[in-house]
Amino acid sequence: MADPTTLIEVSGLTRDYGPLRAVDAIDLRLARGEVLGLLGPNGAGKTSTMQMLCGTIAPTAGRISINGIDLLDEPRRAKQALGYLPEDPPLYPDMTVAEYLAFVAALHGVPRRARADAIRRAVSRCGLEGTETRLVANLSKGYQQRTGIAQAVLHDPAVVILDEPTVGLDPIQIREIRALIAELGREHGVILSTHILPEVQATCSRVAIMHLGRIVFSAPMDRIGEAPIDRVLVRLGTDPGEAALRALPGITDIQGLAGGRYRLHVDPERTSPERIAAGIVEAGWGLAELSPERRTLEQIFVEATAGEPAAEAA
Amino acid sequence: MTVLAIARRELAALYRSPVAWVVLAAVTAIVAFIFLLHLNTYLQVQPRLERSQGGPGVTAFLVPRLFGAATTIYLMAAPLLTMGLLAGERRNGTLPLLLSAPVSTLEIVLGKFIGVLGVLLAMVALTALMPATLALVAHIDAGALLLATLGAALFVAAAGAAGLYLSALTRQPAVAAVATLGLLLILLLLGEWGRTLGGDWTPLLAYPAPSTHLAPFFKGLFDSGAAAFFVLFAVVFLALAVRRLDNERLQR
Repeated sequence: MADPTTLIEVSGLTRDYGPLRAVDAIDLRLARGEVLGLLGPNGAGKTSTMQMLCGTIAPTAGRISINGIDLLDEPRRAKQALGYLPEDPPLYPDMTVAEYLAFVAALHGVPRRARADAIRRAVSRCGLEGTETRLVANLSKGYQQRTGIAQAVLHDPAVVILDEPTVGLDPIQIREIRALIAELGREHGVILSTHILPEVQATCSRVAIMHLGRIVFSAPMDRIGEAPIDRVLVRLGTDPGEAALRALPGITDIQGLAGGRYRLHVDPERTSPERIAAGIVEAGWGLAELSPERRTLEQIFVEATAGEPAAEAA
Repeated sequence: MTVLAIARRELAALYRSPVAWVVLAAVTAIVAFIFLLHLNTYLQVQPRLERSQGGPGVTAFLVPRLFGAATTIYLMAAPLLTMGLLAGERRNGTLPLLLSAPVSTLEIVLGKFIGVLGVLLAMVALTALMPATLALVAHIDAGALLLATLGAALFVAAAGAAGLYLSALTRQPAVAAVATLGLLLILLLLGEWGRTLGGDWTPLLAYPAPSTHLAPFFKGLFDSGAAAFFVLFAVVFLALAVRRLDNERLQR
């Protein structure tokens, strides 16, 4: 790959399960320093996509390159740059945390001399201090999840892929895991799947929404806050009626709400909240309240997964 | 070496679970009982054998009988040791860990196989120790005993490979155990049936039966064809297991 900051480059990735097309020709890019949140309703193809990226299932069609190495041609080298936490943490209940991490280190080809160091680092990063000699089976769900994450970051991979990493954790643990993900995102590239929207807002630098096997929306998180304003909520002193409001320039639709309030759907190209305010004042309708409404991630998600054509903000 | 890392983990897991210990204890107890029965018989007939001159010595009398019975016991014990090899990984959700690691499916299968061999061979070694103790009081033909042990070791390795393959097919260890037992028993019974049919049927049906290839080893002969049978048997099932894991990724 020409661009050294690209960690994952995926094109035309497709996976069929019998007649069902679970993942339909998706393209994806992950750069170093990025945390990509993969959102989508259940059955959207998130897990299948992640499984293909990690090589646990083979794609029906398409190419995957990890850190510039083709996953299908050179799986061994490509997988060395990968850390993967599946939906269910892949833990052996009969091992202690330290034994388990030592096994994973050997599995990932961490040199014998570097293993103790790598384990120590992963243990402190994931807050597992004091559990090293405990059996995995006896750990709480939260600590098992942390052990699963420790396993994924142990060999210091360039790409970390986490499938629903905060499921089953309490709020404090979720905060810690999010902080860990943010920290990982600084040096590595992280892809995480979730259906918890605030999680994406809290941790991700980019969001991609999947629906029916396709990526229907993809944008950097900071762009979502700055999306053009296409809705304005107004309360008027004297009610002029919908027809009069519709005469204002750039209004595409009007929703009448209780208490003399209206939600105006506006075309951001042709008008702005300032111009609407000026128009209302000029007409003398007594502007009591005006608030622009930004599309939140939740609205974007609902619209994108309702099967409607979604805006590509990126 | 990732193969050895997988093998070591598997072996540790087997010895940590009660299954390996219970199987080893039960097999050893049964085999010891059979050993004592045959030893007792030998002691009763020994005076007559001595008078007749040229009768079998203690090794030639005991070893084929002991190992013949022991391999039937192994046939029932091996499926219990192999059943969890891959089915357990699948049920545990740990298979993705192995598949997403920079490890080939061949390495996974070999690691598992070497791991379970550690228990299977211990089982054979415990049996071999019984006639070996007679060396304290009698002359034992060490070569014959070693060859019988080798034959039994080849047999459990082949049975282990079959069990590993069947364990790759399912997520239920019990299903893998029953399927392995069924497969090994059918091969055994077909051989016996072939012998009763006689004529052309005998070699045809007896060929896949393990007992056919074990017989020369127990008589103190090294039959390279028989050894090759077990090696090939194991290689075929290991290759099938690799194929199965590869297909699982590709499955459409």
